[in-house]
Amino acid sequence: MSSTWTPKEGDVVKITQAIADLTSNEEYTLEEDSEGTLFITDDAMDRAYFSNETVTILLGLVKPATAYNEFAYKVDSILGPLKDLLVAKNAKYGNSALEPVRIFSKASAIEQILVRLDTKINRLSNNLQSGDSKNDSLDDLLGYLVLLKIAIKEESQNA
Amino acid sequence: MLEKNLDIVLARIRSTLIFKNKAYGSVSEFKQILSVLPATENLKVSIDDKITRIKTAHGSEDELVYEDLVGYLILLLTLQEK
Repeated sequence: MSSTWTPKEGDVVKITQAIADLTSNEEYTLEEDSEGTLFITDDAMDRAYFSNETVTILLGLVKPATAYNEFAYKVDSILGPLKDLLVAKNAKYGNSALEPVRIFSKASAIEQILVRLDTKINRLSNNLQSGDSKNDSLDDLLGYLVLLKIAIKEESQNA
Repeated sequence: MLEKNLDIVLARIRSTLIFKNKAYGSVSEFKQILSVLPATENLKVSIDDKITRIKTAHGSEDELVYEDLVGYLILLLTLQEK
């Protein structure tokens, strides 16, 4: 089990040893109740809660059922913060990437995003050449690629 | 008093521009990779971003945003100087 894996709703887990009515080596899908508490349901539809008291024990007894889930977790761990970054910057910059004010630059939203991507690629290249492995430029680059996808989608919808 | 403050502000902006020029790469050596637009467009987009930032902040903007804006305008002038 990855030491960074955090169980969440939808993850398929395998119980590595029998506990209560749960069968060893059976796969269960984690569910989440209205209060955000994770639980798994056995064949008899009894809920086995991941309560605060037992969560530490249970975490030692479950693991992602397949390598896919562990990979999915890794992808989520990048995309989750990226979404937060995009939403925060969108609020801070007033949706300027998708709806540019066009005071100095008269280019389209898509062209402006391409220019920003070039800026980030130039910066990233410069950082890597100078041995600076800061992730900020990489996050910005990913963010602008997402914005480019949105802009292209919106343009095709409006065409 | 005005001249003294002018010297302080301009020196700070000059120092920041030189630092960023080294840290992020020179704007005059900007490489077009995805965009077909000239390097000046990169600065114009950044200037528009700063203007939007000031407009969106409704008075609660970081003071540095003004220095960034002036910095980009100066860089635009330096490119036109070539």
